[in-house]
Amino acid sequence: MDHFIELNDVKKIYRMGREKIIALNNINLHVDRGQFLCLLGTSGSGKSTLLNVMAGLEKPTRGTIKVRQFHIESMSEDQLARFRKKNIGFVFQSYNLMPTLNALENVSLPLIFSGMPVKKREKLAAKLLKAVGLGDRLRHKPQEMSGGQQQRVSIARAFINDPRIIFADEPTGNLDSRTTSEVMDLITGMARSRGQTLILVSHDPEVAAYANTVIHLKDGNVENTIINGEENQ
Amino acid sequence: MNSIDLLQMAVKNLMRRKMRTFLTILGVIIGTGAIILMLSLGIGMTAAMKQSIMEMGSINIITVYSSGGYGGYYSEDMSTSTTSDMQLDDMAVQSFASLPGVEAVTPYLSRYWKIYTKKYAVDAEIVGIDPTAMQKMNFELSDGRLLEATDKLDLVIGSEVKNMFYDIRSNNMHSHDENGVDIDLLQEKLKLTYDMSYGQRNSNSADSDQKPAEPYKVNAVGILQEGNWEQAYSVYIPLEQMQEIIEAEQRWQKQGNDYGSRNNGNNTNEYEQVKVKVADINDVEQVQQSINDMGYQTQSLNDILESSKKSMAVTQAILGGIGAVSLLIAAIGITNTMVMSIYERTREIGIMKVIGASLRDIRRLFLLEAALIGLGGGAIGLGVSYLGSWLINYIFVQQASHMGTEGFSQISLIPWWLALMAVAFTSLIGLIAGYLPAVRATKLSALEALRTV
Ligand SMILES: Nc1ncnc2c1ncn2[C@@H]1O[C@H](COP(=O)(O)OP(=O)(O)OP(=O)(O)O)[C@@H](O)[C@H]1O
Ligand SMILES: [Mg+2]
Repeated sequence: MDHFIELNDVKKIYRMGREKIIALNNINLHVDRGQFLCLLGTSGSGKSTLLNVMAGLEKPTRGTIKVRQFHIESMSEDQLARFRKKNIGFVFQSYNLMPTLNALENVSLPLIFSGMPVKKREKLAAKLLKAVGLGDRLRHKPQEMSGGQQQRVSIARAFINDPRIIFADEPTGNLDSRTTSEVMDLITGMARSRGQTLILVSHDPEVAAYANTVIHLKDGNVENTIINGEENQ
Repeated sequence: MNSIDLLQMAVKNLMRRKMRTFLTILGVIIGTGAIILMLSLGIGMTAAMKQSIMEMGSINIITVYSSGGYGGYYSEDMSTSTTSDMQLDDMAVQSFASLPGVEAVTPYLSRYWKIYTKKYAVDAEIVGIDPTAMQKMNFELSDGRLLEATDKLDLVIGSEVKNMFYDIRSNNMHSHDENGVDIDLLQEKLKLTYDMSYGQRNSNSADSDQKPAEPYKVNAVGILQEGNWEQAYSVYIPLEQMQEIIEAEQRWQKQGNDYGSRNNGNNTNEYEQVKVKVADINDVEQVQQSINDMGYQTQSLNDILESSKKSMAVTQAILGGIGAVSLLIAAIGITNTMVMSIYERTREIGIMKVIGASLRDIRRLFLLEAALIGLGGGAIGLGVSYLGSWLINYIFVQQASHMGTEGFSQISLIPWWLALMAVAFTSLIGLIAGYLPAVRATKLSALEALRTV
C-alpha cells in the first residue's frame, strides 16, 4: 500500500573531521494524508534532522524519502525549491520572519516567489492574518510584536500557499504555556480544517497530546510509535 | 517572481544601508567621471587637432609632385627621387583624372610675380589653375566669384594677400601696415608683371639695359575666405593665361641677359604640381597610393591626419587607462559591498530559500542590486562628467584667451555615444562585480543559513 509520506532505511551521518555522528540510524516510517505526526525525544535524539530530511532541506546519507509520488532525496535544489513552494509550509521555533518586512509582506512573501500580483496576494495575506487573530497588526514589523504574535505571523505564512504538508520544528519552544496552547490550537485547527498533513517536532508531552501519532526518537532510532494513544509495533 | 517585485525588493535592500550604498555609488561616480572626462579630453583634443589640420588645407586633395622635382614641404625622403623622372604633363593630368574616385584634377603652374595698383604693390605666388576644376577644389569665397571657363586675365585672390600689399613709395615690402592697406581689390584697377624690379627705381638701370616689361591689366573677380592657410597667400589665374604669360616672360628674359631667369620650368606644359581632388575622404589613401605607384611623389593632409591620429590614439589609451583603473576600483567596491551584504543577510537568504525562492530568484536579486549600484553611479557620474567637462572647457577657454591661442572653444568633448556607453558599461560592471557574490548567495545551504544569527 502506498502512503502519503514514506521513509525507507533513512540514515544521516554527519562527519566532523575524523569523527562520525550518526544523527539518524535507520528510520522506517510512513505518514498518511491529514495525519498529525509528532516527533518526540530528548535533545540530540535526531528530531530536527528527521524533519529536515523529510522536508527536503537536507539530503539523507542513505535511504529513500517519498512524498506523494516524488523521491525527495534525488531532487535537485531547484526542483526542491519548486516542490517546497507548492507543497510545503514551514513553522520554526525562532519564527524566521524577514526583519525588514511587515506582517502583511512577510505572509505574502511565498506568493511573491510564485509571481502572484501584489493586490491579490496581500488580500489573501490579510485574510489569513485576521484568521490568526492579527487583523490589527498588518503593518507591524517583527520586532514590534511579541513572540506569540510573531509565531502567528509565521503560521499564517506557512499556510498562505495552501500547502499539503506543514512542517513545524518546536513551534512553541520559545513560548509560555498559555501561548503554547493558543498556538497549538491555531495550527492544529487550521491544518485539520484544510485536510493538511502536520508534522511537528517537540519535546513537550503536552504538545504531543494534540497529535494522533507520536514517534519517540532515541539516538537516531525510532524507539516506539503511539497511534491514538496506543502503542504500535 | 515577477520583475516589478524583484526591482522593488532590490531597491528596498539597497535603501537599508544608505550610507554604504551611497559610498559604493560614490566610488562608481568617481570611476565613471574619471573615465568619461579622460576620454572626453582625448576626443576633444583629436577634434581640435583635426580642425587645425583642416585649416591647413583640404583633406581630400592630394598634391602630386613630379618625382625628384619640387619636393613641396615634405620632401624628406630624397632617396625615392633618384631614378625615374616622371613628367607632370597633360598626359599625367589625364591619367589622374581617370582614376576611380577622383572628382577633379588641375595643374598648378606658379610663379612668384608682382601685382600692383597705383599706390600699392604685392609680391605673391600667382597660380595658374584649370578654371573648370576650381569649382571643385574646395575654394570658399568671402566675396565675388570663382574663376570660370570664359575668364581671361581674371584673378581670384587669397584671403591674406590683401594684407601683404605695401606702399610702392616706401620701397620696403616689410613695412606694410598691420591691418593691410585700404583698398578694395574687386574695384581697383590691377596690373600684373613678371618684372620684379618694377617700382624699384635704383635697380632698374643698374642691372641691365633690359627695357621694362609690359604689365598685364588684370581684374580681381573673387576674394577667398579665411581659414585655409594653403590657399590664403596665393592668387589664382586661368591656366591658359598663365602659360601665355610665362612664355612672354621667357621671351622677355631672352632679350635681356640670363640674369633674370629664375625659374627652371622651361616648358609651360610641365607642371610643378598637380592637385587631385578625391570625392570621398575614405578613398584618399587608395588614390594616393595609385599615384605613388605611377612614380610620382604625393602629399596630402590625410597623411598628417593619419599619423596624428595614431599618436592621439596612444594619448587616448593612456587617458582611458587612468579612467579604467578608477572604474576597476569602483567595481571592486561593488563586489565588496555585495559580499558584505550577503554576510549580513545570510539568514534572510535562508528564509527565502526555505519558503520557495528559486536559485534564479536569489541570483537575480543580488545581480540586480549590484547592477543598480552600477547604473546609479554611472548615471550620476555622467551628470558629474558633463559638469566637469563644462568646467574644463570654461577654464581652457579663459587660459587660451590669456595666451592668445583662441580658436578652439573646447578640449573636452562628450559625444552621445560615450555617454550612452558609459552608463551601459557601469551597469555591466555592476553585473560582473555582483556575479560572484550572487552565485555565492545561491550556493548557501538554506539550513546553515537559517542557523546563522
Ligand atoms: N549540521 C550538523 N553537523 C554536525 N552534527 C550535527 C548537525 N546537525 C545535527 N547534528 C548532530 O546530530 C544529532 C541530532 O541533532 P538534531 O538537531 O536532530 O537533534 P534534536 O533532536 O533536534 O535536538 P534538540 O531537541 O536539541 O533540537 C546531534 O547529536 C547533533 O549534534
Ligand atoms: Mg531540534
